[in-house]
Amino acid sequence: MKRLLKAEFFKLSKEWTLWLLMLFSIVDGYLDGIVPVRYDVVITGYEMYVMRLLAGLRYEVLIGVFAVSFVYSEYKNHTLIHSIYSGFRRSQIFLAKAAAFFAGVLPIVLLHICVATAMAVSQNGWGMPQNGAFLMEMSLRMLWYLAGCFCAGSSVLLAIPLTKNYIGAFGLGLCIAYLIQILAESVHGALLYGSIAVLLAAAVRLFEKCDLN
Amino acid sequence: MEEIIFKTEQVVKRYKGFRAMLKKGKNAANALDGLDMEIRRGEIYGFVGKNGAGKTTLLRVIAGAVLLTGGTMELFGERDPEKMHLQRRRINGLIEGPALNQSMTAQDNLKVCCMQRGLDSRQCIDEVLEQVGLTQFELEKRKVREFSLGMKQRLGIAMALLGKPEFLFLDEPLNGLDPEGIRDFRELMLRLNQEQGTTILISSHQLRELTQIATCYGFIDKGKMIEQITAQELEEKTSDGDLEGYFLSLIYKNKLIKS
Repeated sequence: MKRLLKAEFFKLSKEWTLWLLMLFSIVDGYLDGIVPVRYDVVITGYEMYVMRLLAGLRYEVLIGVFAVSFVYSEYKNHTLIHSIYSGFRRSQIFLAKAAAFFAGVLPIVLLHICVATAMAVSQNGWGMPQNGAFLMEMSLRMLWYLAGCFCAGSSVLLAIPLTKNYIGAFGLGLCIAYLIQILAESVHGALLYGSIAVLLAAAVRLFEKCDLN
Repeated sequence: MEEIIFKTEQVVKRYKGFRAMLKKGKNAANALDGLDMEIRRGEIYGFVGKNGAGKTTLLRVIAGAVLLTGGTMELFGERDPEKMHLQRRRINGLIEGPALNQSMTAQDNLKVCCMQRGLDSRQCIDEVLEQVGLTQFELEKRKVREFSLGMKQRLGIAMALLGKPEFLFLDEPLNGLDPEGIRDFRELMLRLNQEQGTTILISSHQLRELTQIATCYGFIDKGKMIEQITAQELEEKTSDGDLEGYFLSLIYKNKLIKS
């Protein structure tokens, strides 16, 4: 499994869409961070932090783009076969791929928050007392945001072996993710966290049973 | 007699999916339809069949890319599908064209395979590149998408040679190769077989090339093995080793039997 992970992270380092989307995230965060400076508006670090977390919708689209480029392309180019020749189970191959994929997702979805918040904090401070309650609230908001991103990623990973085409995987994956998030917000938040495990388990099972051609 | 390293018994492969189900005929979607086959260690097995006969499907089954619908497959004595992946470390191949990451350089593609197999990339890459005649300069600077078909094919063969597999299977390996490349490929296969004892399965429509290296042949039609013979038996039956004529006569006989 170590060998697989090493190979997947090597592929991740060579994935041009990762670097492009990270750059987009930085630029997006910078453009929002510069607004208080340009328009002489007071936005505290905490307010900027919350605002950036709400930008999650467009970042789920970027997660779909990254998934299609990093994961689906392996189906299309048939390069997954080399992992099979190396003597690994399909579940190991999928989990290594998912680990590298989510490792790539993290900087894409976090950089814009870090850049914009840092800029706002440097201008106007946090705007809230930095006590335990504050940190807990920030952590819970971040957790919810990351759960949404991981749900989107897991949905696209499930949609890829189901549809075996770019548009299908992208569209179906995001539809599943949005449905789950709507349900989680209206029924119970735990649905969002639980759905990640269910989606990934379903994706592994599907990958084990599908034909890679 | 040498050990059997690959064996199939009545294997069936039916591709699932809406389009497959729509095709006319009861067994229209059966790419393999009760195929029996044996390959012994040290053979160079020429796999011959018409388009759509099931050659590529069988190679995909060996590779683990597709799962069997029925029948059993044995690889190095292992029949349990749950443990088959361990035996796949001893095989490598090229199916329907090279599987390459187009946005990476050739060297990076090879490095990924070396990492997956736990090989020392520097040593292994140099070795396989020399075997397929690809220069270092082309590999370091150029992305695979800039390669010609022949260069991609050579790279695909190089990836198939990584890790010195005991069982090498190649699907139309001569596609896109120039005459020098074809000659080099022929010599490479003979060298691998004689010096390393590599068992080789080659599926090819270039029957003249196949007769120069194969030690035995399998003829497949509509997902079934029609006949398996050795090169010596072919010589005896045809007096001049005419593989093409023998293959066509088999297909014609098979059609007559079915009708």
